[in-house]
Formats: sequence, C-alpha cells, structure tokens
Amino acid sequence: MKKQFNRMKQLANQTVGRKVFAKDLFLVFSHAQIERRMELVRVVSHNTHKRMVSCLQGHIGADAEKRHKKLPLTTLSQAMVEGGNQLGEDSLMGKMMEVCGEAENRLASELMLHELQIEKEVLDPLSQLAEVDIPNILKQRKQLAKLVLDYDSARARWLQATKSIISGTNTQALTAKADLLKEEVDEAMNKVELCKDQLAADMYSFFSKEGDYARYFVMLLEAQADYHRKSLTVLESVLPAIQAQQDSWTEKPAFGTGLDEHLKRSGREIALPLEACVMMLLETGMKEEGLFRIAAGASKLKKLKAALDCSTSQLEEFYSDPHAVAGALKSYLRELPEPLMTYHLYDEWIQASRQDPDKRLQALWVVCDQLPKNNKTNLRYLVKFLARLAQDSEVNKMTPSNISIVLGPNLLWAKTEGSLAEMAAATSVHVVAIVEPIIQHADWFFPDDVEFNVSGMFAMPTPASNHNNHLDYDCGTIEKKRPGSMVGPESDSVRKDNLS
Amino acid sequence: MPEQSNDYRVVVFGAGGVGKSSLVLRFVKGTFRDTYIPTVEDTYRQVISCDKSVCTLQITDTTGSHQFPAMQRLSISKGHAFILVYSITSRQSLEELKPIYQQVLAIKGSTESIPIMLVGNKSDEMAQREVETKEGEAQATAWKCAFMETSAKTNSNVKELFQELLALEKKRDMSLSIDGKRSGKQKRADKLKGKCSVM
Repeated sequence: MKKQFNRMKQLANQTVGRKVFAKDLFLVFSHAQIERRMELVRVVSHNTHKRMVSCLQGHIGADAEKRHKKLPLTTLSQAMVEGGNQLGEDSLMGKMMEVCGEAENRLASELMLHELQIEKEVLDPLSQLAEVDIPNILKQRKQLAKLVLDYDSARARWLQATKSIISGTNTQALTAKADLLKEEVDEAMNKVELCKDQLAADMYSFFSKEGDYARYFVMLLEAQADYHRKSLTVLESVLPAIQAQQDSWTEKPAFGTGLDEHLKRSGREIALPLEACVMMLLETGMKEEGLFRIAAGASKLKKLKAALDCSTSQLEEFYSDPHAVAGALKSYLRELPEPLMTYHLYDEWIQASRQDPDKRLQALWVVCDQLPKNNKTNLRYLVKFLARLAQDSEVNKMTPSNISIVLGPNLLWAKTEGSLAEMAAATSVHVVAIVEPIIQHADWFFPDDVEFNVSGMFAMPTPASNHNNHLDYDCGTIEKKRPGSMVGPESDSVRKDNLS
Repeated sequence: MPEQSNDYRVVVFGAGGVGKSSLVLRFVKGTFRDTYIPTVEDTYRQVISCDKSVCTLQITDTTGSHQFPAMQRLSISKGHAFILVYSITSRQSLEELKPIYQQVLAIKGSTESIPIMLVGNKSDEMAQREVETKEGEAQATAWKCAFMETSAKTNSNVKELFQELLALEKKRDMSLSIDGKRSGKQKRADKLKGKCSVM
C-alpha cells in the first residue's frame, strides 16, 4: 500500500512541480487503484468491526454496570449464589455453589473490563477508520473533482474571452471581462490547490497511519492475553480454597477409607459405622442368636452400608434387622485398607498368641499397648461391646470364642492375603487365638469403662424417651416401639452387676 | 484345575449357621452336637472305594461367617465336588448361595461335569420352614445340579447326600462302602484348628 502511494505521490509531485494544470493532478489522484485501495481498507475494517462486535458478550456502548449485569456469566453466578443459599451453609454443594458463584462473578467482571478495553482501544478506532476517516477522504476527493470542474469551466470561459479580444472590437471592455474571468480562473485554481493540498495531506496521514491501524490487532491480542491471565489469576486464587473445602468434607464414605483419615475428616474419636452399629445392636441385637454369624440379606446390608456412608440418613428401619447391622460392622472392619489391629503389628500379634498360656495375656497386652492411638481407641470400643455381647451368650450363643471365630478374621489379616490364600486360612486360626482372650478379658485389657454413646448421634430414636445416655435408661418406663427389640432391663442390670 | 491326586475333595459351602459342620460331622462321626460353634475351616478325611481301589474322600467344611474371596477361590479351585447348603428355615441362606454358585461357575468354567448338590438342611424344623421343597428343586433345576433336603439332627438323608454326590462323579467310580478288611472306622478328623503350625 505504502509503495503504491509513494508512486502516486511521486507522480503528483512531478505534475505539481511542473506547474501543469491541476486537471493532470486530479487525474493522478483519481487513479482508480488508490481509490479501490481505500475502499478495500474501509470494507475490511467495517467487516472486522462487525464480527468483533458479535464476539462481545456484552452490549456494545452500554455502561460498565449495565454490561456486567447482562453477561451470561453474571446470570450464572447469580443462579449459583442463589442455589447455594437455598441449599444452605450446611450442605457442601450449597457452599461450593456459593464459592463458585462468586468466582464466576469475578470472571464476569474481568470479561466486562476486557470488553470495555477492546471497545475503546480497538473497536472504536476501527469504526472511526471505516465509517468516518476514509469516507471523509473520499468525500474530499469528490469535492476536489467538483472544484476541478469549476476551474475547467472558468478557464474555458476565460479562454473564450481571450479569443474574443483578438477578434473583437470593443477591446477594452473585452479585456476587462477577460481579466475578471482570469481572476475567477485564478480563484478556482486556488480552491483546487487548497483542496488538493488538503486531500494530499489527509491521504498522507491516512497512509502514514497504517502502522497505527495494524497496531489495533496487536492490541486486541494483548488485551485478550491480559484478560485470560487475569481470569486465570481469579481461578487460581479460588481453586485452592474450594479444593480444600472439598477435601475437608467429612461426609465422605466411611467404608473403605482408612481409619485415621476417616476420624480426622469427621472429627470423630470412634469410627462412625462402628459407633452406629454398636448403638443399634445394643438396642435390638444383643439377644439375637448367632449375631455376627448369620448372614444378613444382601440388599439390606448394601442399603445400610450406603446409609452409614452418608451419616445423615435415617437408620431407624435397621433396628429391626440386627444381622444386617452386624454384617455392616463386619464389612466396615473388613473393608478398612489396613486391619484395625494393623499390618505393622501383625507379627507381634501372632508371636504373642503363641506364648504359653500363662504368658500369653501379658504378651497380648504388650502388643495391644503398641497400637496407634486411633486403632487402640476403636479396638477398645469394639472389644468392650463384644464382651458385653458375650455376657448374653446363653441367649445369643455368641461366646468370646464364637465371636472371635466369626469376627476375628475381620480384625487382623496378613498383608499377603491375596497371593497366599492358604496362609490366610491358617492365620484366621491364629486370629481366633488372639481375639478370644482379648474379648474374654476385656476389662483387664481395657480397664476403663466405655461410654458407647460417644457422639450422641445414634442415641435411641424412640421419641417417648429423652435419655441421652443409652445405658443408663430407666428400663421400666421404656416402651419399645420397634419390632424385634430384645434389649431388656435384665441385660443392663447384669452388666452393672458385673462391673461393680 | 485340581491337581491329579488320589484324594477326592468335596467342599461344603453355605451361610453361617445352616448346619454345614453338623452335616459333615453326622456323616463322618455319626454324631450330632447341639452346641453352637462357628467353623473356621475343618477338613475331614475318609477312605472310600474308587475305581475298584481305595481313595481318600476329603471333606472341607468351610466357614460361613466371613468370606474372604481369596480363601473361597482357593477352596473352589481345589475342590472336585461341592455341597451347597442352606437352611429351610432361612430364605436368606438360600440367597447367600447364589454368589457362591456363581463363583464356582466362574472358576470351574462350567459346572456340567462337576458334581454339585444343593442341600436344604434342618428339614426337621418344619414349623420354621421358610423355603418350600419345590423352591429348592426349582433352584437346583436352574443350576442343573442335584437337590436334597436333609436333617443332620435326625440323620435324615445325610448318607444319601454323600452317596448321590459321589454317584454324580462320572470320571471315577466311587462308593462309600469299601470291601473287606479295610472297611470300618477308617476316618479321621483332621482339624486345622488343632494342627496349625508355624509358617
């Protein structure tokens, strides 16, 4: 473009320099090529402007606030915040929607600022170029053409007048007229020159500004990069917080999650499924024959496990199905990534169980004492409960020995179990020899009394009673509503007698 | 697949408390104990006649209370024949057999040439019956296996159960009675529980 213009300029200068008629100059400028060129620039600028506007999400020309309000991201953000409020602070999803909604709102702000900047720095200048600057130049060229026409006719009239001087009689009058016409010609020439200068200046300026026009596109990309960087900053500032919130969510599945992780996450001391099952069994399962031995209905068990995984669920219906509850407890223990009595102490446990009977208890106690705090607390809780269950063994048939046969393999297993199944089969025998004495001598291993109702979450749901301590209830006044409820007053008195 | 040996291994599966041990003890020792003791895993051996010679019938009494899949798979892969026991007083115990049957099917590939008996035990406890005889038969038909109702307590159909199971084995000709001098009380209970040693 520039090269072509230079050639034009050269031509123009030549003609101007030779003081030829302005008509020649005009011819130079009317050169179709340069005109076409400008028209082309106008058209592409116009189109680019139009397409770029359609890329904008906001309404062009609107003020910042209004634009921000109308962005799809803003409405998304509002929907999220609103949804979050409806779900409430207690719900993780609600909380996340609020956080996410706020982030989206910030993204919307960034987008709005970005679009404003684009509009100001790219779109408006492009529009100026296509809709004002170039049309003005073209208009000026038309004006020049008109002036040149004026000049031509003035000149023609003057030439006519000059001719008549030569042939005419009234020389003086004719000369005066010719002088007048000459003045007109000079004036028209003057106007042409002025307009031509103006036009030349505008065209010079147009072409010299090509660099500026090209810069719009650099600015566009820079603005976009800047926008994305800012958006990324927004996202990166929110992500760690929202991720942390997700991670801190306590109501992750308890089944299959490591004990320490589950306890830490839920802020509990006793694993939720353990406490829930024990509380339910204390209520309705203690006299059930073959508790922990007899299999539960698979679908019931699955349902209970799922209910325990989202601890808020109603557990009421499971009170009537102690075998499902016992099954869920066994499942929980078995699905722990590491057995409750740990891989770490596996060899020690086995060694201890091989001691002579008079030394065995002491050896087991030593190993027991080495258990990590969480494991020890939960084992103690479970063992105390199992010992309690064994007190009713005349009715439920579950002696310490029987309990350890059916439950022991869920408490301790070798790490190599999968590959060496035979070994696992044999170790389950050892496990019985480890677990049985611990249940048998629960009060010696764990002298302190255990409060089974640790968190109060699973206190008796019977609406008629408001006893917070399950074990201390006054049995006479309680009307059990659930079918299959078998915990009678005598079982508690037995326990109290034994403890005293 | 089971390795070629003279032993003929029968594995007894079933949910906890259906009477697997009672059935096996009634068959092996002829006694019935009214105690309530879950099984870890016991193996009993008895000499029987097989292809005009003798071989050892090895009966593995599995635990019903905790199924570690690895242990169960091992028992299945080593077993030649299977007794699947449920209690007629518990529909759930019949349900429990379904995954075990599927496991046998998965490990053995096909159950066609494998003797399997579906057994409804505690047939003496008619008052508590939850599973009708024809339901057990229907399940056996679905599984293409034999079916029988037994009572270890009243010694009903116990010997017949093992006889029929051995009769189902087409690869060998087996029978419980062994001829001549070797007959008698040649059985021993080889309890893992007592014999376990250092590994």
